[in-house]
Amino acid sequence: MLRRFTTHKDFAQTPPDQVLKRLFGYLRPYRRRMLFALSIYVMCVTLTNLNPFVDRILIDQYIAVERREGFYLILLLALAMHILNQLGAGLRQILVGRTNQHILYDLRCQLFNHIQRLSFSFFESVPVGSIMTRFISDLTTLNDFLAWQMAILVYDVSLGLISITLMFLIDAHLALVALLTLPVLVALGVYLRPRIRDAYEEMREAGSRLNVFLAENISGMRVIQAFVRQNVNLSEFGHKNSDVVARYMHTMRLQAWFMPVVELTRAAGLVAVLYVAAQEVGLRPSLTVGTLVAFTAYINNLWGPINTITNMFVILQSALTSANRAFTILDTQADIADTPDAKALASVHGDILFDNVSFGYDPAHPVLRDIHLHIPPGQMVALVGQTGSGKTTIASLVCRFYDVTAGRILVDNIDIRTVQQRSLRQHIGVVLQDPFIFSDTIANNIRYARPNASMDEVITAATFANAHDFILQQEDGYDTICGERGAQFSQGQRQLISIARAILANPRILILDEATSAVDTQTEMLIQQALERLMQGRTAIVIAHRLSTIRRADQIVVLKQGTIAETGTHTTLIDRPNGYYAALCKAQGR
Amino acid sequence: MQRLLSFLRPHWQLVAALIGLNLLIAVLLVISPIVIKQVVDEVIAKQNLAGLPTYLGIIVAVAALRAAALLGYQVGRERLGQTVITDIRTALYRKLLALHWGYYDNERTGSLMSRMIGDVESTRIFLSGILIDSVNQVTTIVLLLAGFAQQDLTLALIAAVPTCIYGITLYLLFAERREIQLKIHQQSAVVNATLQDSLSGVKVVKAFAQEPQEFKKFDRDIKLLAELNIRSNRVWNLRNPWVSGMTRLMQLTLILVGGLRVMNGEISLGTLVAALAFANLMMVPVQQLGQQMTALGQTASAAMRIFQTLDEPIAIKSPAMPLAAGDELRGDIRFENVSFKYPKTNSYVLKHINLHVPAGTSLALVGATGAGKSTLANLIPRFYDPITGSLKIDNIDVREMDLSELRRHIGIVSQDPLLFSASIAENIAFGRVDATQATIERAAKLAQAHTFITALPKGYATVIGERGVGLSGGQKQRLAIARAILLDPRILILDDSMSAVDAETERLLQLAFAEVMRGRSTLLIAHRLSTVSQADQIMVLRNGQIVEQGSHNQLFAASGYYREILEMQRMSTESIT
Ligand SMILES: Nc1ncnc2c1ncn2[C@@H]1O[C@H](COP(=O)(O)OP(=O)(O)OP(=O)(O)O)[C@@H](O)[C@H]1O
Ligand SMILES: Nc1ncnc2c1ncn2[C@@H]1O[C@H](COP(=O)(O)OP(=O)(O)OP(=O)(O)O)[C@@H](O)[C@H]1O
Ligand SMILES: [Mg+2]
Repeated sequence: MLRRFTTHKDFAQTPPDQVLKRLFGYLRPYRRRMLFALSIYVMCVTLTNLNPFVDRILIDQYIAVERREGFYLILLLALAMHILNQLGAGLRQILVGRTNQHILYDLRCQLFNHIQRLSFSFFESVPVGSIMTRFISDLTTLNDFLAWQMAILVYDVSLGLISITLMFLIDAHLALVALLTLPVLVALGVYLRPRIRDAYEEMREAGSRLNVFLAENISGMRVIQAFVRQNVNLSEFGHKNSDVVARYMHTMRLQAWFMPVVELTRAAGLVAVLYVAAQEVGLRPSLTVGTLVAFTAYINNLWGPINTITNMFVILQSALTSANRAFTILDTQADIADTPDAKALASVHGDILFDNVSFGYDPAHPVLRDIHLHIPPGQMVALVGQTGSGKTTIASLVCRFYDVTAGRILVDNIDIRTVQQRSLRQHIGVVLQDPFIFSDTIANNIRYARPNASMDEVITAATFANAHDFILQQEDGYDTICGERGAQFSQGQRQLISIARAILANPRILILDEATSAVDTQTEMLIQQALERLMQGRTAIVIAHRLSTIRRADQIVVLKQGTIAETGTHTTLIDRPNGYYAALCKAQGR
Repeated sequence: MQRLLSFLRPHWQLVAALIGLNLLIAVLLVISPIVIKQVVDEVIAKQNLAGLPTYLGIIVAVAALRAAALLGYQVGRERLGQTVITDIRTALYRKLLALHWGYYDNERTGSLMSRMIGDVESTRIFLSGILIDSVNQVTTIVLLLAGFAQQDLTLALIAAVPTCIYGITLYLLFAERREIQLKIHQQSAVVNATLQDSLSGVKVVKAFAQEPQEFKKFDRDIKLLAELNIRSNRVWNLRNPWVSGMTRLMQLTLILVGGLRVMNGEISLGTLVAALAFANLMMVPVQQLGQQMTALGQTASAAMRIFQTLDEPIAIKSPAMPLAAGDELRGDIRFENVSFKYPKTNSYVLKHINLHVPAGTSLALVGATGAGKSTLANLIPRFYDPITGSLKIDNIDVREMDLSELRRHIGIVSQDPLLFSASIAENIAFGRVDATQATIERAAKLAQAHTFITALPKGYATVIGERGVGLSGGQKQRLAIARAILLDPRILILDDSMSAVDAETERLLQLAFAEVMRGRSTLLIAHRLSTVSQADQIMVLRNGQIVEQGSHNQLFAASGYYREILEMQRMSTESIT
């Protein structure tokens, strides 16, 4: 029934260089700062690499030949170089760190904004926990990469390159010998890269599955306890967790190959250098003990970065996987998007026309068929019918939460697909069947549609919805912070708050989907009267199972399995022989 | 911190093996410069090629050994990390499974999630990576210093002093950063909670076109997070380079002092070269140690939050010696002067409730919204405990019964039916995983759900989304009813469980319930009195007190709230028929 978000397949396809390129695209706004940081980098790396050079001069030209004059001067010079280097390092880190936080901020904003633009079909197929994982784990991995690792990577790559250059400058022959083993490493990298990439993706997928499971468990904990499911869920958790562990270990075993191989190649390089040097030491004037010392230092200097670079290679892979997962969401197109030439719907009278509308959540299985319905401005229309007959679906279509599969819906004679979604919804106030309360103050929940509404307006709306009294009984009255989904309210109270919210929105079109189903009869009557006053002059779509509440509707539409079975007013429908509405009334009046 | 380490205790063998491997790796690292010194002094300086193959052989052998050790060490370390976080995560999850409802009234899913994901991950990085790696680094440094001292004591001292200063400064720096790290973590939890809220309320966000407002909230939170991160970064980077630059200072000092001594003929050039090689080798572990320290602050606060959750007192749990309710629970329910208020609130929601539901009979509760009906029902399975008074089932105080045993006998259809993302069959069999398809279908039939389920393309195997996305309100409610019926419970609680179904379905459900309720103790909460009137006893709750009590006829005669509501409903039904 639901289109599952098939994540793994979507990821593997993008080539890494494209992901990287896109990631670097986020650097563009900060390129001046980054260029500055980079130039400091170059300076620092050069200074660091000059160290062995200076040391060599000190040893060969001063200590070895016991020359004291100038010895201190060069030492002082070395000290100055060092201080400059440290200053640069600090400045660079601060610059890079700040830039990275800005990039991360940009990414978070972009992701959030994009997700908000996506349509319901996305939210119905991607669990909240999975989206949360994107924000928590994936963006954090990216953050780490951008904040720490990338700096290290750039530093090490340049350090390595400069080491190689200097080695060639000192003694090209020995340098070649030292680097002879490098291709082995490259080969290993080429061999392992795709494997590690796949392993990472599978690992993230498993992690995401575990998180989705956890998120759903935490929010459904009450039901789990009520049904004594703890042991079952614990073992399910165990399975999901071992899956994560297994995939993680697989990844780690793959990447564990790097360090030992690096170690072996380093030793091989060293041995080769020493061997060649021993053979040739007397033969060439450039080959002094100092040279050799510098050389061993450079080999260490080189293999240090190589070690980190291979490590980085793995970290890079992990960062790319994360970036890719974030980008996959960014690339998900909203099913329902404003067309470029969509106009804003400035004001509406509230004329609604369903013109031969058909719709199915899954196009293969239509939920609504050939709905033709006209609601003139200011009318109250009631939708009744069996559960699952498509009443809520009709209401969702008016808000354009989904697009019709055939036919069209017109508001004030304008096809709603041609106007900006938000401008349409600004004219509609909905009380959803399943009331949702944000973890904010009660007042902010009520003024949700109009954040700058005054406290007086809030109180008026609450009074209208019969919620004022119980709100005052709360600890901090209107300023009470609601628990998650309004945990501290009774179901009826949640409905009252969401009615108040819709009232304060002051919409032209009001949709009430079983707005008072959990409310007692007395309160319901009071709200009913209030709503009737409120609905004067507004278009209203009311869905209710308690038929008494919709008796006075201008039009009653009876839905049966996705088609309109009957329309009319209460008086015309009640006497219809074999009418479905009449039968429903009878069932209720028993 | 000590407590964090206790998670390592069960795996002490692995930890010991890893530390052993570490030592080996460190020792092997030290051998290399010694051999190089020999090569330079003995072979190259003296032009004596005879010993060369042996020396080179040693270098290769050491490297091979070290490579093997590295391989084993890395794999072992990750295995340890995974084992430990599995332990921590399972402990956390167990705790969450055991915590009482009241806890969840005040916690937010988003922040619990960041505990389960982010905080657990930080502790893993610490326990498996940082802790053992830093043991490695410290050992390496000590060994290098020792090897050094053997070569030349003065030079070794020159190396040791900056290393110590380095350690101390790092510690101070870490302490300074800790506070800000704590703030960063708190802020991340806030971000997650905000996010969770916007995501799960996306329907309302969109319906009221409030995306910009949600973004503003999110933006405010992540801006603060970014600022904190930048601040922490600055604190660190203004100082850290000076500290880590100490190794170079050490080298320069070595060249100064060592050079002078060579020139004075006190030590050989080879010794100085070896000393410099030592210093070079020392640079890496010292810097790594520094980097690892940065994570320590994070771990400390993450661990703190994990332990906070683990230490959360469980308000409701089985007694140590539960009393068994005979062979079979009969389902006789008695409230004796029960008063209740929710934790962290002041006013009582239930006041001096006395009631008795003999086994196998039904009690209906009616009353205004917020009167306390659901609250009363939630006391029976001990989702909350009364503040005063006692609640007895089969004359045993529920607090003396085994909690799972008690709940196993209670089937509850709560007012806000929550389904899980699983197949419909799995959802119905939620409380009895081993239920057969036949039992599932029977429950679904009784709940009037069978027809719509079989009409779905995949029938019972249809997978629904989180919270039952993909079903209509009435369909969800009927699945929740089927889920409770399937338990075949002794006590059935129906909290407004027909609010979302049409009149026709309601009538069918009432017929089915008449059958299901036979022989079970039933607590029925409803607003529509047609459902209520059949109950053996009816009670009217107002502001947490029982104000009327009796059978339908008695209450009708009493002309109180019940009568009033009845008239109201009769009037409105008459108006439609
Ligand atoms: N998000 C969805 N994805 C797929 N199918 C859906 C979705 N929402 C509803 N349906 C299906 O569409 C049909 C109509 O559902 P709808 O919610 O419109 O019913 P309804 O008339 O409002 O019922 P009720 O009175 O129970 O609220 C049902 O069969 C339901 O299973
Ligand atoms: N978890 C909670 N924490 C604090 N207060 C709560 C909590 N749950 C309910 N309340 C308060 O307790 C009172 C009784 O709530 P309860 O859910 O029992 O009402 P009810 O009679 O079932 O109402 P309804 O008919 O709307 O379902 C209400 O005022 C409500 O605000
Ligand atoms: Mg209730």
